[in-house]
Amino acid sequence: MSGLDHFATLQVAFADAEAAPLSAKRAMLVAMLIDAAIDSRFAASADATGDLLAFRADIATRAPALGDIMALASLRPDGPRLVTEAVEVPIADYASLSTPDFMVSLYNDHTVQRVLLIRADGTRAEAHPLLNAAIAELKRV
Amino acid sequence: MGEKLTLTASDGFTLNAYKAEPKGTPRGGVVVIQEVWGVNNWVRSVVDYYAAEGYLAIAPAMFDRVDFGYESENYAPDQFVIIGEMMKKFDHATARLDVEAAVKAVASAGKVGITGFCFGGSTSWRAAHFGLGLSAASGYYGGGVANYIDMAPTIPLEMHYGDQDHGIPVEQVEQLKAKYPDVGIYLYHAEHGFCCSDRGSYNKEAANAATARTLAFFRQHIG
Repeated sequence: MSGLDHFATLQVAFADAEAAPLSAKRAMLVAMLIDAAIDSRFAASADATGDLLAFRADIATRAPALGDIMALASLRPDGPRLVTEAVEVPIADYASLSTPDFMVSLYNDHTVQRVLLIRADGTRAEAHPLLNAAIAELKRV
Repeated sequence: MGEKLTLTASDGFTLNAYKAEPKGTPRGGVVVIQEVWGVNNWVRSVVDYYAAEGYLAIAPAMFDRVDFGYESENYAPDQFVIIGEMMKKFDHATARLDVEAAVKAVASAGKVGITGFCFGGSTSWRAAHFGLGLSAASGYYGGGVANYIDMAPTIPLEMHYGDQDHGIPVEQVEQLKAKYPDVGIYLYHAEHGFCCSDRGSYNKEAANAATARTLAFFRQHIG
């Protein structure tokens, strides 16, 4: 797949994931496509002496969201993972909820479902803003 | 067109309801459980629909215990904080008593089924677990799957969800199907609230397909 085709596929996958923002598997597909795009970029630019691992490590240093996504895509048993969890919403924040979130939260102890990335150190980030940031970084690096 | 009336739950609480009678001898009864905006115009239209299909149909006002007489046609976010605060007092245990009161109110028609949307979908699943004198349940996009997945149904049950739902993870719907392979669980290409014709999320094709399934299900199990 060419770089342009790859990026178009990534954008379609991200649009699908945004249409179903609570789908961890769609988020994971986007993460895998981002990861593959980094490898494709290396393959397109490197000469025979290049080192893919060093290339990826350098990107992870310069682009933290891409670093998170590459770590997720590596599927290490002790690495980051995507989870779907109930997250409590303070009443004061209700006005910012989408209608489906609002409806469901009312009879579920004021919680909404979210797809989260849990890093190896236990810190968490919402998956979709992270994926969005990673795609923006991918355009820049 | 139906009528407004009151029901008395087994603990003595009085709640509002909307009931519609069919022409001729009823096929059975249907309890319709509301979304979070109460027994409003759209919910009443669903009650009227099941009455037109031959059932003695009723919708109990499930939020009367937290705000008596509550119903809203305002689907906009300016109501969210107000309703969110109000629902701190909601209790699934007493809600069950209100469903039971509605079942008894239409039981003279024969077997009784339950259907409901969003909150009502979740309530339909819970009712299918507890029985409550019901013979079948057909729920729509009930949120909080993790809070009811361990409540095994004791009566015939089917559920309808949308794969574009921004409130219910599709993987949780898949978990339900994996845990209860005999329960009819359907996933349409639609958003949350796809049956409500009063909101932008309405999806006519999905709504028609799902409603036809519910009707066939009730024909099979209710009459």
